[in-house]
Amino acid sequence: MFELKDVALLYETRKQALAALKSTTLKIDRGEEIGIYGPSGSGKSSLLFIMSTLKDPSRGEVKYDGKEITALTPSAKAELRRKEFGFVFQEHFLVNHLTVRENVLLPASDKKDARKRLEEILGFLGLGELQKRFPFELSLGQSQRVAIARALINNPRVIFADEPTASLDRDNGQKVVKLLRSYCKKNNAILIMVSHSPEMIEGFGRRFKVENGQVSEVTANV
Amino acid sequence: MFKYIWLYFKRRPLRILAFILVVALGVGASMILGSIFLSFGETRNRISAVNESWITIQYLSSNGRDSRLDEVIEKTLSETFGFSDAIKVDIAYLSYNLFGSARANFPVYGIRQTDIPRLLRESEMQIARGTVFERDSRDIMVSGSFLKADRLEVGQIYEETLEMSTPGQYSIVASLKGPSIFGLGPAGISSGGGTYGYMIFAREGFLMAVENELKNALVEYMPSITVNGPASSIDRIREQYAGYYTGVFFVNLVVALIFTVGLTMLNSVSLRERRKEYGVMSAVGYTGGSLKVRLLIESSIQAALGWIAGFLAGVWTISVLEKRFFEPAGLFLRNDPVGSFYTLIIPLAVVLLTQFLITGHLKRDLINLLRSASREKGIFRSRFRDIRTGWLRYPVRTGAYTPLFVNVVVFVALIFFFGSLLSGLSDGIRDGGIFFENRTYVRMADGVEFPSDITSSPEVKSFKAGLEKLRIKLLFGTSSVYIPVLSPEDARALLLLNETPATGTLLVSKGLSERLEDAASLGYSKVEVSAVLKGLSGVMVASPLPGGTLLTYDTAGEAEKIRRSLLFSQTEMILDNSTFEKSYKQETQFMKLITEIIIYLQFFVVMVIGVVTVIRTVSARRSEISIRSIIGLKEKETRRMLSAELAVVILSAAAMGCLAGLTVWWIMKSIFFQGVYTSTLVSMPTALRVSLMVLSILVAGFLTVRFFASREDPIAIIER
Repeated sequence: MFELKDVALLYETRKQALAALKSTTLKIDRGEEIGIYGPSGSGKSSLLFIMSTLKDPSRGEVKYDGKEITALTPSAKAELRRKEFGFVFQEHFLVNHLTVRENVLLPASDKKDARKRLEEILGFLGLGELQKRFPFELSLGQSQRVAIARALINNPRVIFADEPTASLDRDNGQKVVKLLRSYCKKNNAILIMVSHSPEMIEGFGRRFKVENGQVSEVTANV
Repeated sequence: MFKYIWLYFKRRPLRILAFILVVALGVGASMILGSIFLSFGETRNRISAVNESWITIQYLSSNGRDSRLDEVIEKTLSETFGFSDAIKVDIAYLSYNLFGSARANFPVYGIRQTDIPRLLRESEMQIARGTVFERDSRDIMVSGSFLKADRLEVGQIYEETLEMSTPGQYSIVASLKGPSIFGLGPAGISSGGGTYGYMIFAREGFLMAVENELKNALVEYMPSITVNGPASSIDRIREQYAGYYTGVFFVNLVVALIFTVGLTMLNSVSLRERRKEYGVMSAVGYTGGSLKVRLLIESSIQAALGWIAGFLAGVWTISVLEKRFFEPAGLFLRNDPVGSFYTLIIPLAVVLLTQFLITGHLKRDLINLLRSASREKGIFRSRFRDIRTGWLRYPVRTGAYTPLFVNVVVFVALIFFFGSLLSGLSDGIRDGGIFFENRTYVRMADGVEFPSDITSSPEVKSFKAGLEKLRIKLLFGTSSVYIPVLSPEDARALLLLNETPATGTLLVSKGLSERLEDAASLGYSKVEVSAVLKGLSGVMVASPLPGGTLLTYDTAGEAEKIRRSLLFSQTEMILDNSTFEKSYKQETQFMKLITEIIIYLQFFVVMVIGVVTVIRTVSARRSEISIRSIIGLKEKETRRMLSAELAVVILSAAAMGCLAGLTVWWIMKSIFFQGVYTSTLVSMPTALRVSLMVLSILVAGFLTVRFFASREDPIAIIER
């Protein structure tokens, strides 16, 4: 489903070009769980941003479902993110003046269908009672679960999770990972999760280590 | 310390800019209002300026020149200075319209044609348009500003209405341009009663000495004979300006107070927001004194920048106002940049009050200071949890749009209120003259026949007519509605009636039929509403009184032709379109000026507040825009939502403003101005002004939204 060919991200400085991500080639199939780990600033988030169309690579090809996606218009990229992808980040990034329910429904492309799924998702994430609360009335763990609900509302085929457990305690962190994995398993969706800690991606089908912009698959070694 | 100040300025540019803008607004507004209030005095000053060019010795007489007084003056001049240099003049006074009820008189000197060059040279005036006057005519040359003030043109007839003027009509043949306001006409202009005298010239610097010498020489004939020159002029101006300066001082005091309070409130919000910063700085060892000094420097820099910006904007705006509003109305503004330094009081007061505020905050203990910083208010949010409309959520759940909303409500209400006030003041005058749009009523002096050559024109139809008067209540005082009295046959012909109306019938327009309380004096037996009659008009069917003629015509230029033909005839009264137009313009001029100034000033203020609010709101929502972009909402959707929010805020505020303005007007009308005539509830110019203002703010807001929404990078929030 995802195919990256010689993808690199370079930052031009006055003196030299710095590689945030060195030439990377990889293929990801439907239903796979991808764990990406590495130290801070190693380039793992850059890889996630490129795959999710949030950032354009300096060179190379990124194909999703056989179609090149880096050359899409900003509007087409937005459409792709909305319909196919779900996002969970370290911070919940909820809209402060919207209630839990409204935040979750925000990206819904088919509002009618989404409203039907809303109860199910909120129930699944244990947020049923909190629908009318505002983000500032929630705990960190609850906020993160709302962010997950928002990521799942459009029934995405790919979930991008960038350090989703970093601001949570160990128990809550593990719960979040469990939720994401269970959704992907049930829906045969791809889960691409970035973490600075290899522990969090234990058990993932494929694992990649990113160091100094170099991506290497280390599935067997973790 | 300076490093932190610089960092604060760098990181909070919008907050700094908003503060600077409000200081600038206060300073600018104070200067502008001061200048406007001084404009009356400035115009009078120009009228007095003629006394700086020459000395006039004059006396009043109701029967032409007084040979005894002439002899006294000539003898004095001959003995003291040599008579050859004096010019014999008679002086008429015309009225200079200083916005409606406020008027000033300026002299029109009756001289010989050969004296024109000298008078123009001495007064540094020139003929801007037209030709010099003819001998033994009613031609006059007058200052261009006088023509503008009374909406007159070269080539038109000027009809005097005030008692101080010499009765009669003048034909305007030229406009004069220069530093003074006066007029010139042929000798004998004051035929009959008026002012007579002599003009005396002297080299610059000697004029005042000559004036004083003359005053001493003629002291025994005063006050029958008066001497006017630069010395008397200075005394008069000093006297007039003393009152003006007091008024301007109070206006500026009020403006300074309003802005000082507003700015201190703004600073107080900013200080509250920065409590955490002060708490942290205190925790790491900064003393209260050093924090206060830091704030003093910060607010002084902002206040100084605001003052400079306001001062420059004020000077510029005054010159624009002068060109756009005052010069076209024949008035002069006083642009006195040096005198505007008093506006420094605004920034100075704000800086001092801010110091008091921070002292209050720093009195708390450290823990209290830090705790108070983290408290959030959420009353709006809690009340509107269930709201379903997406673009209403942000406006009602946060207070971000409140300043824009309140400002639009207040300013739209002001425009509506002033618009209605203007209608109450002027609609009666305008609609009372509708009958005379294509008609002229002429009444000749006793024993004088109506000139037959006027009625011989095929364009003009004439009817023997009397004239009755009805009073209509205006906001201040009353207005006259003139009702022609016609014979039944003439009334039928004039109003194209199918049947001849009965004697004693009062035919009226619908507007007039509703206000006939004071019409008993007309002695009518029956009232009929005629569709042909518009506004406030009526025709009485009876036997017309002798001496009056009603002329009707189709072309607009006919009225001026009739006036010109009647210039040398002894008319007692002429009523035509220009009579009412002039009266309407005079009565509404001041209100119009005030309305326009208010509209344009608030236009600017609302625009600034609108754009600043939109920038602040959108800027505060950059994270939300990023989130929306990440989760796949298109830029167009975000833009549409922000624009819809803005539109709903501005339009609902405008609607509320309209309602508020009309309600206040309605309440005031019911309590204070009962029975005042207004033609419509909302006049077209008022509706247009409001629409234009609302549209401009909307467009400015949409452009700002577009600019910000298209520039927000989706992952900016993550990188931040």
